[in-house]
Amino acid sequence: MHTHTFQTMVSALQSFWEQRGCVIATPYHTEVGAGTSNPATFLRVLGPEPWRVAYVEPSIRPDDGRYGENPYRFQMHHQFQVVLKPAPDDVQDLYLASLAAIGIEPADHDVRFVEDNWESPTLGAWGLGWEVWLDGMEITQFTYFQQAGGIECEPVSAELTYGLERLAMYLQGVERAQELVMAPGVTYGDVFQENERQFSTYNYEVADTAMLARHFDDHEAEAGRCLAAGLPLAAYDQALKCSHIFNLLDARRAIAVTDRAAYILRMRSVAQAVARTYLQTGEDDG
Amino acid sequence: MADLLIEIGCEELPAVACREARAQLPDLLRSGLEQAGLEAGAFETHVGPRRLAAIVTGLPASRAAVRRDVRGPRADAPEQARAGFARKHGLEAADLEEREGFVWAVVEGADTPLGELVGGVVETVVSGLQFGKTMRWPGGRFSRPVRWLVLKIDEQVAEAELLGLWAGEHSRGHRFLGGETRVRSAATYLADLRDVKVVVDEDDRREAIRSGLDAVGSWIDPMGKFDEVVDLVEWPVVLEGDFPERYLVLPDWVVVTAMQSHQRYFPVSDGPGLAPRFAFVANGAAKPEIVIAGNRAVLIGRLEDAAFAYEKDLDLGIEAMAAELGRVSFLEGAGSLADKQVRVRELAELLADRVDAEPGVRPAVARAAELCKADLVSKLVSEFSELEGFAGSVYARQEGEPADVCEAIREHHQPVEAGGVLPGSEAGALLAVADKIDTIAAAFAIGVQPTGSRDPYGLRRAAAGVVAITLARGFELGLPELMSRSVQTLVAQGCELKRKPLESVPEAVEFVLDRVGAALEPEGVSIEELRAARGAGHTAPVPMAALARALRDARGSERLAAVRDAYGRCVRIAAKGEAEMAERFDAALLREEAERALYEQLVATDEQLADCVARRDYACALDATSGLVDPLNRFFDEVLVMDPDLALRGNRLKLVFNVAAAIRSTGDLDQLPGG
Repeated sequence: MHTHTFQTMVSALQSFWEQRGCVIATPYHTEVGAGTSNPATFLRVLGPEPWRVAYVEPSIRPDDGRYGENPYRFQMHHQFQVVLKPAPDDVQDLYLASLAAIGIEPADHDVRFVEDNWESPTLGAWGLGWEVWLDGMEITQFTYFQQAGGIECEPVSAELTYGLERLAMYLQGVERAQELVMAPGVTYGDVFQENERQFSTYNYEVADTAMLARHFDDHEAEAGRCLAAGLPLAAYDQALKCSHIFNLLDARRAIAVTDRAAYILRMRSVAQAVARTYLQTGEDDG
Repeated sequence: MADLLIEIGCEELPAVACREARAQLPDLLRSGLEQAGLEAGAFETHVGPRRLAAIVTGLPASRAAVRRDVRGPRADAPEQARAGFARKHGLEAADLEEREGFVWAVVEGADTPLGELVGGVVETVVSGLQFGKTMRWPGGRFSRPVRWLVLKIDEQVAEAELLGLWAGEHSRGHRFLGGETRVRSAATYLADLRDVKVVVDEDDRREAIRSGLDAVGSWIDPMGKFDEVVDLVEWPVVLEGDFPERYLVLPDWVVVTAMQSHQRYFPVSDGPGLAPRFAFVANGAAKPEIVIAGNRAVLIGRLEDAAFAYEKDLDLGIEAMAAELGRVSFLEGAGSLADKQVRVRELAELLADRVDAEPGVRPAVARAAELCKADLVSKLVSEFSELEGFAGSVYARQEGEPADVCEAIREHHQPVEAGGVLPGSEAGALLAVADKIDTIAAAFAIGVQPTGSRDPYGLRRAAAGVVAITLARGFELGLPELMSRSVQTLVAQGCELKRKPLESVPEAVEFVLDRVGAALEPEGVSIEELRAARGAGHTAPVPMAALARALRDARGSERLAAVRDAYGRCVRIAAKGEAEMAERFDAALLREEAERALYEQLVATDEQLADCVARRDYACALDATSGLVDPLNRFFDEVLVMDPDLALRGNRLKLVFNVAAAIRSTGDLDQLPGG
């Protein structure tokens, strides 16, 4: 079997999950720290309606930037996110079959489900599950969603989050993500190295912290106005902007120790209000 | 006689859940059998990552019916009612008996076959299991989802349902090397599963791993991962890998942590030092070379991260790290780590005074306090949180800090777990206690104390650490003084408290004293003795423990029983007369000989008590209080406490109250079981 490029690996995952009834969604159009924050996960795991979705999500974490000099730590990496609601009985088998679909035959390896519990204080969300090990390397987070936005998930969804760079590095046998083949003749470094350099510089050195702090307040207030107008989706976009601004301020070391907890609480309050309003709106629409 | 097999198949259970289930299964199974009215010859239980199993032998084929008499309508009831009653119990009206003015049906009942009872046993076991954490899935609630149930009585499948799953005879073997299999019977269960690459018996897994590791060489497990690994695999295969020797220039503990934390690898030693090799336990390995290569790459990546972080940290130096601490928050809203270090230093110095520390210890503690949190901003600790403390001590040493300072920095985290190693140096012990007391005091002050099972900041562990260290070293510290100092400094540092300053201190003190019981339980101190000692009102673990031990030693003695009874009498009378009690005792109001005698004895006892208590000799204190018993009994015999003269009455109540107070300094003896 030929070795996958980064992009054929992604399309293999997409087609695997498409065949299992998933909507293939697109990355969200504003910065998120993880695929979980995409409303296709965070809001859709709420309420009773069944939902299956899969998508690539660029995960933006300003504080993980290393100017492109670290072999596997970046201010933007890629996740492949799958949500199955309700969690099917054979969800582990489905996941293992997806590994086979990208050329990892579990029987040749030591694939293990090792306890890992997930919690997001800013989203008011938590779940239980595992990190999946492939010969000792963590390649996927596997979570049964218990709560989102402070609301119990009923039914419980299964969330699979594949770390795409790691998987591809394993498949291609390279030690630096920069060396990954994206497409024939094009490396990961060709595509993202300059981004890493510029965004690391912006995140750590250039971002205007006074302006960002003002914008946080503005987006928070706007979220409140959207909620009052019965528009939880619009409010949630504002919440995501707050979250990214917080991460930038944090990378700039601009959050005073005494303010940190307050910022987190403000974000959680908005996320919880969005979740409540989203459910109410859904009920009103029948 | 029949044998029963129960196998509850799960998605991968956490190792800690396996441990919890293993501890509970035998009792739950026993009570399940008992509730079903079944008596077993013997049973064994097994727990692994994907299954809980029980093998029960020597069961009866059925539970014998019980003959019982059922009372029916009155004897003078119409024929129709008697016939109906008889029909209901499958009898003819002529079969009914007449007694005591009623008709009775003698119901023979039928034997209940074993197959109809085992479902209830499974139900009792599963619903009785208590896990620290449980989750919901579409189907139920358990540690992780339950996916299958095997239930066999000898060769037969028993009918039962659990969480929507019907019992069958098909189990699942190793995920990749085994697959589904039919279990023949309880007797063949372990062998049937072995055929599909599952070692069900945890002791067998343990032995397989141990001998595999022994074959690799001289392996070590300083972080204690062995037991956990036993519950992470169903088909253990020990493999061995190597790594480039250049990583061995890192401090040994860093290399060990890179291997053991998260990855659970076992370092291999080579004479005095580490060898550039590691052993690990795979869950089956059809292609060992692939599995080894993958794990080797992961370990090299971790060692590379460690080496990079270590070098960067050395370049920066611990002083520069300490200067960063003002930017890092401590808890949620209790200031920065720099603020915390200031408080820890204050407390440690205060403690050094209180325990009369050696002169050389004080400067070491003060200096160590200034650096103890610096490694929290090191790159090494951000990669490997387990190196907290150790990293700081290495970096302090690099900058020429004296050995006792480095030692104290390393030890100030200890004990890291219940029963863990305690700080070896006095400076380390003082710093460890100061750090933990400040954490507890600050957390309570800002309102983030533990609630129910939630203890996100590990405060229970911190409190247990304070108790363990102070008891081991005999440090006598007044918790209210230290905790108040912490909170006052917190306020002076500009921290906004969620509660009134100092309002939280008594609760925080009680929280620490709550941990004394667990520390003394292994010494045979009973709950009652502990409660009694607690009632003496001590605010430090050392005297409270000394008193609890003295009460344990005096357990069962007639003298203690006499003091307890006398004390109880005083407490009840004083409580009843509280409203009429004089504010101050006045010796001039003593009238009777018996009350004068009691008063004189009380004065003498108080003096003796002060002396004994100052020496923390509670056996002597208990002796001293027993001197009050006779005068007190005489007092109650001869003197009317509730005298019509209200002044006398108030004064006598006060005298009784004072006697109770004196005895209470040897414990609230009412808590002790009566004779």
